[in-house]
Amino acid sequence: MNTAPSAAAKNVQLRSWSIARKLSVRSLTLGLTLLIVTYLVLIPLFMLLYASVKSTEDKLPFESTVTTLGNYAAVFTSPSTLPIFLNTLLFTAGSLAVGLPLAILLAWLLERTAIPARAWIANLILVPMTIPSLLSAISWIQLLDPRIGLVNVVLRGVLGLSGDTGPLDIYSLSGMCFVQGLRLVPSAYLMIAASFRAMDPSLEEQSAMAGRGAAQTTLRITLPIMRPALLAMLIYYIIVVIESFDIPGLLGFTARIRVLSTAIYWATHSEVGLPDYGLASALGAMVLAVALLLMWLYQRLTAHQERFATITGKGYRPRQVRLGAWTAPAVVFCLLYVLIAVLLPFLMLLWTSVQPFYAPPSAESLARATLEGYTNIWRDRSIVRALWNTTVLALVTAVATILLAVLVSWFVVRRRSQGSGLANYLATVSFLPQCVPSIVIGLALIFVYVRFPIPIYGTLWIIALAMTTRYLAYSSRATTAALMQVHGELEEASQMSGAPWTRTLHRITMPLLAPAMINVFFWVAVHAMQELSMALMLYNPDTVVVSTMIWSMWQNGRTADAAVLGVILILLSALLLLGGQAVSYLRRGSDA
Amino acid sequence: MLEARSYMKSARTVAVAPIILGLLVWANAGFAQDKGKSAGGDAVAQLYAAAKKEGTVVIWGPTDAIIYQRMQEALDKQYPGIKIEHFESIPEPLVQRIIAESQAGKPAAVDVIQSGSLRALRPLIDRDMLAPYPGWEKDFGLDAVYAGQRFVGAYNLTLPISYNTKMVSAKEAPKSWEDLADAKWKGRKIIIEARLVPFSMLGTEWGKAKAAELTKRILSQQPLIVQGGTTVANALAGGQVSIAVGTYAYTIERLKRQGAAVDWVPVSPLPVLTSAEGVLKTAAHPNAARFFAGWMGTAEGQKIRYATTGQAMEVGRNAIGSVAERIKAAQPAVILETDKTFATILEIQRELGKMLGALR
Repeated sequence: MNTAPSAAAKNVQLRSWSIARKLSVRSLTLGLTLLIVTYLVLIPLFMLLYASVKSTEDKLPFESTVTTLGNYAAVFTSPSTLPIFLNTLLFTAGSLAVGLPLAILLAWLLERTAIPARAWIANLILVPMTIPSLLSAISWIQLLDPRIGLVNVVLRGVLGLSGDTGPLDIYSLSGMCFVQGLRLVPSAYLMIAASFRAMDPSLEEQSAMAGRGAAQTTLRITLPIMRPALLAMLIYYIIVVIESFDIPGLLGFTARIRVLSTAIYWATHSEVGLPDYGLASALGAMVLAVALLLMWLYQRLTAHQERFATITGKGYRPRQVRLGAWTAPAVVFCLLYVLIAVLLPFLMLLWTSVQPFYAPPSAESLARATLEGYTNIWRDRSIVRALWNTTVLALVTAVATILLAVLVSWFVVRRRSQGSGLANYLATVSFLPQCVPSIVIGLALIFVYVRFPIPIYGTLWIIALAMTTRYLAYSSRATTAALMQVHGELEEASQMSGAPWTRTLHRITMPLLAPAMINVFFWVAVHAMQELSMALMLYNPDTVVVSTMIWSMWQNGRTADAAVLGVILILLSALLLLGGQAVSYLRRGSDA
Repeated sequence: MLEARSYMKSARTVAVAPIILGLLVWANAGFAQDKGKSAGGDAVAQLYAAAKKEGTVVIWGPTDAIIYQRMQEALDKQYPGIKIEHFESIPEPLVQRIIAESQAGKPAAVDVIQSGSLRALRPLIDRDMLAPYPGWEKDFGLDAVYAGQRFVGAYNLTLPISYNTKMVSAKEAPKSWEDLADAKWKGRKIIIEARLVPFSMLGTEWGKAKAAELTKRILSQQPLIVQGGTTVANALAGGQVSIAVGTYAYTIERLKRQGAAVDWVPVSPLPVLTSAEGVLKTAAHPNAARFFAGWMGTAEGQKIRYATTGQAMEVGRNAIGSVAERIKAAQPAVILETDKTFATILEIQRELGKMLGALR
């Protein structure tokens, strides 16, 4: 009697074992991703909700013994609340109306058309993102202040206007929306550009062949295909604008336009003791509720995600549209944008860096110009350490965030198609840190890690952890939108050929996601270089970073030194950008 | 009211104090040389010996690092053996960290905490985390000692009305806080720092209602309102506005030295903040901390600080520098921030903040 298993049975056994192994690696990775994301998000989220029900006037949240709904009551009963909410709505809508169409148009022009000098323009567009927000906002005031703003002075001269103010007024709702909108463009461009790059134009071509005009094709083909990416971008930036303080802080006070971030600022920067974490957290919890609602909407609107896949196994041909007679206007539009949004603020930063104190450009101030700031700055003993720490922090945060974001996106996109609730959970949870004020994240990490045996408190790693948590929202939005365009059949084909899941992820998915990954890497690294609120809470003499130095210099009246550091930060960012481009170039070379 | 009257009294006292006490500056200037001779000198010499044994002092605060480099050079010459380790940051997050670390049973590795205003250190007093030290008054002869000898003044920050001399002549410049409500300053001719500190301090002298009423009138003039004293000073120097409130007199003096067309008016009453230093009860180097904080308050320490950044004590016994001289000459009533006034300042600041978007 032959007791040995037959060859067929052996094969079945082997295949089952192989499938089980694949499943276990994948399940293990899913479990680990869930665990890490939950852990990262839960700590600040718990602090937010906990603090929002604690009486924290003159107390830190964990010191307070009084549980109360008083913080929410303070928000809802204040006569300022209604105007604040209405202003926030207008400011958000206005900023998005300025920034997002610009970003989408630029992304389409630079990724999908064959206009000349695209690579140069695409790089220049990113420059404003590398200018620290404080210095950027100051630059805009120097450009658009009604009295001394360079643009206004020139316009008054050119148009022959009398009077010493105007014609443009930056201290208004429209001024705030304009500047905030322009601030959004580089970051939104990065988020959307990869999706445009990955779009198969054959669908548009078929539409054109069927006799539809450009407008109809855009409305019926392009925009529906881009829906996940556009919605992801819209939802993310709604929360970003609601939270942003730089522009409302510098322009809104004057314009008497009080928004939610102004109220959070007052609660967290009382400067007279401890921040009012209770009130700030109650406001943060409301932003959280808005974010949850938006996420729910997003998940409903992108439920059948396979509809949006344009990269399939049946011929993926990213091609560029020729604009013909529209090429010149398109280039002029891009150059105009670069001039207004990029060059002018950058030149103002350079100008500030050579002035002993700020003065608008004139013959008199030109005579005072000095390069002392560029030599003085090296007298500060901490500067080299700060530059090193900043570079390490940017790279570590970017790598950690991108890895986590890709895993989150994979599970969100691929598991969701199988109807997994875990996918929706991951998608939602990874978005929530965006709603927690940075200062609350910082405090939460101090509270936890000062007690935990994990020895990262007081090191650079705790700042990296805080930033990874914070930037997970942006990066997972961007990579999820990009992955939705990659049909699962490519991965299925790889796995049917016997490639394990990890190799498929490495050899198929990640290369297809590379444009989005490079963009996200750059975005995270640049933001990590500039982040201030969390760094101020968590840094120490050994972990000093450039953003905290710029802030200290500015506060101590060393405006030229702060501007010089801003210029150095831009150069560091440019190096990163060049690195990213080198990777893209090598990739294209190897693909060819 | 009683409180307001006592502030007025103390303000007047402080206003005339520089004249009487100015003479004592000379006496105190010789402090370092005579330190071994007086009774206080003996105590200081003993403290220095103990500090030298500890060898290091760790100080956290917003002061520019360059000052500590200069202080270290001076210490090495006269009081060798004490190494300054400085961590430059704003005090608010530092205070939170000190509290959080202390409650976790891991006292922060800091000896001296310094802040730009007394109020920022209030949470540490509330939690009894600072050690009192009578020697600052008794042995170092300092007068700016507060909160039961838990704080010693490092420097003052005077908050005057400032103006751009190209746009406004000295004659036209406001001479009082009420002048800011004059119709001629309507329409973004004034810039105000968003935290409204000078107006909150005026409230301790005038009462909350009067300060709030004047603030409201001035805000109705459509001033520019921005966050940060440096931004205010830059706007004034750059000609963006004619008048500025919320930037410091020493900043204006520095801008003048750099060639900016700016000046300030020592209006009466004149709000003056106190940057303070306190020694933590958990300090690993308590003697070095007490010695260093005391030494920085002496005329010698003040001279180094003033020569490096223009900051110094601007009122009181050890007042030096151009701001102190102008205050001495004009003799305004001074509203000095002390541990007795910061609770009132906070309360008024919260009220005024509501005019700009604070919810409570």
